[in-house]
Amino acid sequence: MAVLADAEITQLLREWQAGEPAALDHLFEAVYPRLREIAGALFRNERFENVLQPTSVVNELFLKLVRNHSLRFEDREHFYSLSARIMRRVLMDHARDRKRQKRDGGVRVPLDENLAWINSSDAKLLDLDDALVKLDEVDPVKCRIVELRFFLGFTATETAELLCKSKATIDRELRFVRGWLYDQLHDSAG
Amino acid sequence: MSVDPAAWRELQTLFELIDRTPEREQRQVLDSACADAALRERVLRMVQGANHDHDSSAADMPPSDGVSHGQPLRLGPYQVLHVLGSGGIGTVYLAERLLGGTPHRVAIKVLAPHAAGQHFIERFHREQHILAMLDHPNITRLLDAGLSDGGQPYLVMDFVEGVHLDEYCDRESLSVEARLRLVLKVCEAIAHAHRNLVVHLDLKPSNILVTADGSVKLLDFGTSKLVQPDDSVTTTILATPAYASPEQLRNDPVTTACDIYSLGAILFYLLVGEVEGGRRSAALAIERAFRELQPQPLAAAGVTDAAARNRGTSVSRLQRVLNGDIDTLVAKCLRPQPEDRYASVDALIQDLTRYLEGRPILARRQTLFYLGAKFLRRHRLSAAITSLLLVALIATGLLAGWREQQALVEGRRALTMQSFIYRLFKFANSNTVGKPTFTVTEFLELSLRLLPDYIKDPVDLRRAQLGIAESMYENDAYPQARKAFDTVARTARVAHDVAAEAEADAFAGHIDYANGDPKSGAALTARALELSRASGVPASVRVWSEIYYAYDRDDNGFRSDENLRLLEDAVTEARRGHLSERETADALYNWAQDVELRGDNKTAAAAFNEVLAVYKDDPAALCEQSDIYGELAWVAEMQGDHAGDLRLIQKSYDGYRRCAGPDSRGALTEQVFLAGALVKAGRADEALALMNDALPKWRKLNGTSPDFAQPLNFMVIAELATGHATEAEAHAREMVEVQTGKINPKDRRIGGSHLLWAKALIQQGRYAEALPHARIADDLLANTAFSAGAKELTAEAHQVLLDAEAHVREPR
Repeated sequence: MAVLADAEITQLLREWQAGEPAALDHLFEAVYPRLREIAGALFRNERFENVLQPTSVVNELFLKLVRNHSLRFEDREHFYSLSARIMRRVLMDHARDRKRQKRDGGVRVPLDENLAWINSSDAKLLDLDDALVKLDEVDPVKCRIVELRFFLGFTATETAELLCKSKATIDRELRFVRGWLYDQLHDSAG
Repeated sequence: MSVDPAAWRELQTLFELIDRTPEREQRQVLDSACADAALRERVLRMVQGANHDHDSSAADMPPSDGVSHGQPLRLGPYQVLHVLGSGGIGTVYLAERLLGGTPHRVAIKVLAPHAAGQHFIERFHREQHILAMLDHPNITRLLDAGLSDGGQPYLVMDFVEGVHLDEYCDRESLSVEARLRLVLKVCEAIAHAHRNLVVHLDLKPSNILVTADGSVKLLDFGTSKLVQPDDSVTTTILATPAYASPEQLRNDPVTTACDIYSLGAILFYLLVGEVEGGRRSAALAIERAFRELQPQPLAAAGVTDAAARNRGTSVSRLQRVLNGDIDTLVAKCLRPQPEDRYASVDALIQDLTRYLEGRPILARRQTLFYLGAKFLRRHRLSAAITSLLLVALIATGLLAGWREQQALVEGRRALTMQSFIYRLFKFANSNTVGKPTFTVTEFLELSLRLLPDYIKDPVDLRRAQLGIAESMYENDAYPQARKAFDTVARTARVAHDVAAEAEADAFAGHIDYANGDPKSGAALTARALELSRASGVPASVRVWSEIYYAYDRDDNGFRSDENLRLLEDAVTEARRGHLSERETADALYNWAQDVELRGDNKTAAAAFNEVLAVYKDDPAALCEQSDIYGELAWVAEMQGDHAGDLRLIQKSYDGYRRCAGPDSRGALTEQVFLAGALVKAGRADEALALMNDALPKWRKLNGTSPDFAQPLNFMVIAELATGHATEAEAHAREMVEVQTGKINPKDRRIGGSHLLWAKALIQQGRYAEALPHARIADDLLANTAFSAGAKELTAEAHQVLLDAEAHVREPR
């Protein structure tokens, strides 16, 4: 994977902020290798219940995208949506690797307790990922809420503020999504 | 899978309907609302799923507590009993070792490999002598370190039975004072560790235990020395976001200042019962760290009834305590930049002790100046302006207190001023106003708005308002300054506050002159002069009234010997009234400028040099120094020293760019003169570039004032020198337009404009059109010419007229 120059990252950020979807994939490439490395270090010893905290992801993104490029931190919504999406991808890729290596054990992912009823074995996690892909097609905003709330650990209030919605709306949306995901996952498991 | 949007909406509507319906009526409601049986089943499943609480699903979870998940039976010589807890970097077990037949209980922390890093054991042995020095009654000892049979690193510590600091405080309903005394004990232990060069880096209430006899014990001290995470793992994950310093969250180098921050966060929590900045996700904690947000005031965290009861007091009483010095003390710990916090835990102990003894703490004043300095750094303001403002405001408070001769009042007043400035800077913080930067002018306007809340004495209030208005004027914000002076003049008149009215009128008049309203300018400065002669008006007000009255008149075509005499008076008055050296120099400066206007360059130059000597000693007078260099450049020019002119004007320009910024009125003024000097030095292209930059800025600054003719003048000169005659013609026309009707129609400056207009036309060969302009120029410029430069212009105008006439009479 090619390493992006700082100038390119800056340019990609601009495009992404201007609503250019392809820029997002390239940005992924810019920050992703290092995050995989962090995840790898954390999960190295499976006897420990290591938790990949969203802090690692956010921290890395701040360093890479905001500070090193002296960007003004203005577009919070984009920034955190990107962080949440990356966090999801790191976790899911890790689960996928492990499944491939047939070491399906009990890696704990830091899903918020509201989603804790999902058995977070790697296989289940990947089902969850598939369900989210579906959700993203039908209702991208709801998918974003899930990512922010469950993968990045935003509180409902923070999610509401970021997306300029009321907390009541977020709560209502989340209830629906929880129900929907439950149905999807139990359906596909059966 | 593609889902029909309508079906998706229906699903959501049904879900929400049924979700609101009591369980036993759900089927009935659903049957009547939806005909599709499969959809009905699905909605019911979803509602059940949403209600599925995690307790009942715990069985689905992978084993998550260490007991059932490979709890070791032995670790080296220790027998493991059970889990005590687990945290970010490992799990803690209770264990015991048989020592001479007596079981000795210890706590063992088994570390995650990523947290321990490599060479863990070696590091422990290397650091052992340091850890041994951590022997302190309030610090749990680190006894041993080792690797388990399975290769997991572990640390062995004293086992302490106790409860977490916050739990203890609430359980015992400790008062604010008792809580602070406990923290003081914690601080002493930390100071001891810092003296031995050990930082903690993960201080939080759950790392501080209070034992049954009420003594505190710090856990995990020394761990930071031993824990060196894998290179690929950020230290961020090792700290607890709510209590970690911003530099830790940013993954920046850590120092003892991290512990001071954490102590501040602990204090905040113990005092208010809420985490500083409110509970927030780790992601937002990091955002805060990167944005370097200033700490939230204690009282703003929202004191609850329960919190007050827990501290044996009422909400209002607790609020009052939190609004006091303790807020400053805690904030000083929580500054985003390490260097702005207490320099050491000892300094924090000192202030905590002072606070507990009811003495004033030391943090307050530093905080105030810190805020000012910080604001300057952030916004790159003219340091002189803002520090003057700060000093003026503080002086107002202190002076008033002195007048009432009550130490108590003085203290309160100083406090009022400080909280005013604190609030001001808080408001001006870019995160509050939601703008990337806050301009000086906006800052000053905000001050004006907030000021009446803080200064109740009307005389003091006007004095402070004048200070701010003058800062606005210094900062080129003429309309805002003018409005503020007007307000002060109005209220002063009603209250018969002659000094304030005189001062306000003098400045307002001076601004009116600059804005091209010499009539109003003359009237206001005359009134100021008259008022300033009343008894009881401070000498400084009299001096400035004289200066503005006389200098502006002389500079605007109302030249008279009385003006020069007044300016001389101002100098004498300043010396006799023992005004500051600086103000005396200001008066001398104005007198010298007037002398210069009259063509006596030698006398003027001597005075300028005298003034320069004073300004050079004053770091805040960089702009004024630059002014003087500009004047000396003019004198050099008048003496035919073009090289000296260019050198001095460059110096003046550079100085102004530094002291006030490249877009300031001062820098732009010198930029224009520099362009003129460059044309003379045969570097017209450079001059044109400078003017192309300066002219639009001037146009924005005062494009309709007759003063705009000055930059236009140099623009035309540069254009003529580079052969841009049509542009020169347009700009010369504009010169005349901005002057017409605003200055005396016989003023020499109008002659100068017509002269340039004529030259621009001549350069295009349009002699007939040039002729009338040449005539006006010759007519007006033939008037009184004081200086050598002016005489040169008179000669040039005449030559141009002769030239034009010759061509018109003998057309080619």
